Amino acid sequence: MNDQELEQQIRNLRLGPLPAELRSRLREEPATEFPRPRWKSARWAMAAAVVAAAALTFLVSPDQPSDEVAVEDPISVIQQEATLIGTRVLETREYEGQRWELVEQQWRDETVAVCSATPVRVRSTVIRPEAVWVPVRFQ
Amino acid sequence: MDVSADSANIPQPSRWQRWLDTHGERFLLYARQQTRTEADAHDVLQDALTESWRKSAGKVPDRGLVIATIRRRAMDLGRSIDRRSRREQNYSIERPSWFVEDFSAGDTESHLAKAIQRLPDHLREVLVLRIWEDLTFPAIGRLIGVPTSTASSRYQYALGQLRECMTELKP
Repeated sequence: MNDQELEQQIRNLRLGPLPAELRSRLREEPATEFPRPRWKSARWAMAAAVVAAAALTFLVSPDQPSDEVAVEDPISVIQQEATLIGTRVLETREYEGQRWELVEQQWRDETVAVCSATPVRVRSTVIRPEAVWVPVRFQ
Repeated sequence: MDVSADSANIPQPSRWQRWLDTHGERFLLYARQQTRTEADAHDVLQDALTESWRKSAGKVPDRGLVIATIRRRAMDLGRSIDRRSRREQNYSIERPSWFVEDFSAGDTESHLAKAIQRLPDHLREVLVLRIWEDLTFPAIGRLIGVPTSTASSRYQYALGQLRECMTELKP
C-alpha cells in the first residue's frame, strides 16, 4: 500500500459527530467583540476632556464678579511630559477590510510640580503601559 | 399545500450553527489530540470556539486561528492541573472512538481508526492537522513550533506506523 492509498483510506474515515451534550453547550452564539475605536481610548478621552475644559474656560465670561473667594492651589505643575519609550504588537486582526494591530505602548510620564506653601519641588516619573488599536498602513 | 409558506416557517440555522456544523467535528478531533480526557476536550473546544468567535469581529473565524486557540487553551489547562494526579486518575478511562464505525467497510476501517488513536501524540497531531485540517507542513511547523522538515518526517513516521498496522491485519 503506497502513501496515496493509505492517505485516501484515512480520509475515508468518518469523524464522529459533536456529542449532544457539547452541542447543547454551544447552542448560544457568543457575543462578538469589536475592536475598540481609537477615540474611545483613555488617552483620547483625556485629550477631549482637556479641550472641553479649555473651551468652557474660554466661553464663561470673566466679567461677572464672583462672591466666592478663590483659593489658590498651593501646588502647581510646571512641566508635564509624556514620552513614548517603546511599543509592542500584541495582536493583529481584520475588521471591515482594514487590518488593525493591538499595540502596547510604554509611556514615560514626567511631571515637575512646585508647592508654594513649602519650598518643595517634586519630580515624578511613571512608566505607564497603554493598549491601543491602530490601523496598519502599508507603504 | 403551500410549500413555500411552510419552508418560510422553518427557522434557518444561524451563521454560528452553520460554522459549527461544517467544522465542529474536525475541531473536536484536534481538541482530543491535545487533551487527556474527553471532558477536557469538550471544555477546551467550547472555550476556544467561544473565544475565536468573540474576537472575530462579526466574521467567521479563520480556521488556523481556531486551531492555534485550541492548542493554547489545552496547554493552559494542562499547566493548571496537577499532572501527576491527573495521569493516575485518567489512565484507566477509556476514550470514545473518534470515528463513526462503518460496518460495511469490514475490519479495515475499524483497525485503521484504532491504529490512529494509538499513535504517539506527536505523530498523531501532525497527521490530524495534515489530513483533516489540510494544513501544509510549513504551517504545521509554525503552529506546533518545529521545523518544516520535522513536521514532514513526523507525518511520514505516522503513515509508516499505520502501514505496519494494516500489513499485520492482512493474512
